[in-house]
Amino acid sequence: MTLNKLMRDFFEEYTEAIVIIDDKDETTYVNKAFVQLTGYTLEEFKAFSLRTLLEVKVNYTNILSDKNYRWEGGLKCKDGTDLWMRISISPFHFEDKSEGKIYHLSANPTQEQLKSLLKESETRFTILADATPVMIWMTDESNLTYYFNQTWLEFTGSKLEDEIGTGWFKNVHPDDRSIFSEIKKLLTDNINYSCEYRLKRHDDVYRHILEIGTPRFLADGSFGGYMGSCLDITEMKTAQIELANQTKELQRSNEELEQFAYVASHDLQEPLRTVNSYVQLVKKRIETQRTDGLEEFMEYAVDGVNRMQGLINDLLQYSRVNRKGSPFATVDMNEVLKIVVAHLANKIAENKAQVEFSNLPILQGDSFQLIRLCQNLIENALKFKAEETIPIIKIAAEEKGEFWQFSIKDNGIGIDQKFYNRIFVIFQRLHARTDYEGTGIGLAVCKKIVERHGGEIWVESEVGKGCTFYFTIKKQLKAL
Amino acid sequence: MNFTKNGREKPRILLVEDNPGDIRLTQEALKESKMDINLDVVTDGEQAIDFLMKRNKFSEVARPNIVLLDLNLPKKNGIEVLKEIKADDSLKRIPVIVLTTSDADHDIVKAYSLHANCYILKPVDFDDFTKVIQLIELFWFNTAKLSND
Repeated sequence: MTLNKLMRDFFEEYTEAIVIIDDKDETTYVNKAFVQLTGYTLEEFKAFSLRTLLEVKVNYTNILSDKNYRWEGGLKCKDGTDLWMRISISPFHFEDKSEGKIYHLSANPTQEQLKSLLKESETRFTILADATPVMIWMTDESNLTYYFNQTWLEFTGSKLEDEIGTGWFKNVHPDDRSIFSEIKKLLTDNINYSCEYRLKRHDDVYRHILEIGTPRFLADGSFGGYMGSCLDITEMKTAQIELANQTKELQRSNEELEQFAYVASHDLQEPLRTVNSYVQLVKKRIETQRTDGLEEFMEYAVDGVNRMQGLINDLLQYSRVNRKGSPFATVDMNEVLKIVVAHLANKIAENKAQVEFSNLPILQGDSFQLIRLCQNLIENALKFKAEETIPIIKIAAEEKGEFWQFSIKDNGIGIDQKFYNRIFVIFQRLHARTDYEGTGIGLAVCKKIVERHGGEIWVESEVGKGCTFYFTIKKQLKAL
Repeated sequence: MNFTKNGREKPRILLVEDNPGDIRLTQEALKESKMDINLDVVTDGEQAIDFLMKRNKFSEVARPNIVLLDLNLPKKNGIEVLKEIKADDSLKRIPVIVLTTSDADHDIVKAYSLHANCYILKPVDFDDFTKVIQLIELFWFNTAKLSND
């Protein structure tokens, strides 16, 4: 019973153990891998019956056909250890056509080996988990967290024992905690989820976290808890917000441009038309040698020219707020108000008005624009004074978070609530020109100046009792 | 009602206009026409509504036969005034002629969408302005038949 050379060469180099027995159950060949695995040489092994060495533990339900079958079992090695093997048997034909069997033995890991394999796998996971920039946690089936990777612990600056269970929850932003009660409802269905919340970093700064949670299932298919991966998306979020702000700013400036074009064509044409018409009327009178109304017509013509000049100047001023603004510098608002009062000295005296201010802050801004802002607001307060009342205008400031909030309070005629927004729109006037002069641009300029200083402007009023204009200036300012 | 031949009532126009120059021009243009027209003037949008509703200081006024409405007005702009007129059952039959310097498409579309009866651009030239006022008279008081109530 011999093997031909080709087969022998093949089996010798084969990495798994091969045993060939002849039709009398006698071992005729073992390959190199078998010798290495079990320690038996062919001669030594021949002394045993293979069957006595192979402990059959699995019944023959694994028979693939009547001639091929496989099972698992232990093999006692020469040094006395038991090797757990997967064994498959197939029929074999020797060169002389006699039948034999070929045993193919592949070693299965032992319990010890299994343990070490498991340990290796766990180490691999831990190394991977700790090296990844993603924060990872795992919960058990009762939703208590028992694992956090190093990335998480470094992020929060906490020890594992402080974080496990529900310890981690204390670092979630109070406003975002309700997200987790929502998620808890979802968890009963063992579904994947993703959410965003703010988590306190080791330096006490809240960062935006994107979390993706996936249910884990045990080998028997039962629910084993959740596994989550979390990413710090603050930078992305900031970029997103910045982009949204820029888009908003662009939209605003586009709208402004549109409004500007509309205004330029509409409001500038109106005085031009007046001038044109009245000059024609004068011409007609001259042609017909009539003099009635001549003086009046000339007044309208001159008034039109003046109005047009006023409009052009105001428009220029308005368009310059962003284009020609100075870089921001330290500005003492007390000085600003002193200058404004000096500018308006005549009007204040004419109206016997009182302008009161004290202890205003020093801030970063464009002093010329801040003067213009306060001057426009105080001028308005003087213009819209109540009849037979001494105008009293009080300017105050208070700190509101990242802003200084200023108030300019008067005792004038006040503004109906429904006009609170319209007054800040360019060329929108509340009063007929015959009652109050003006181009309707003053408050639009104020709004633009305040916006350039990162703040907002609004008004609160009670008709007949005066109004208070509020504006805010951001403390930490970068010029637009 | 035909106003030209010894009508019992003078035709009445309500001019809603805040520009004194234009008010005067309208008066001058009406003077040049043959018709005897009663012109009332209000200078902002709120007064226009008060006038038509005979509210506040306008309780004694007579209702106009047509309204000449500027769009750029203090307090309540022309579009808002138009909307209120056309939403009111007692006012919506009064023809409203928008007379404005705005040739912006969105103003024209908006005015007609709100049932303005006519949209006219204020001519830059006085002669043309007079012509427009006369055309308004001719069409609305001679050609068109207006509702009596």
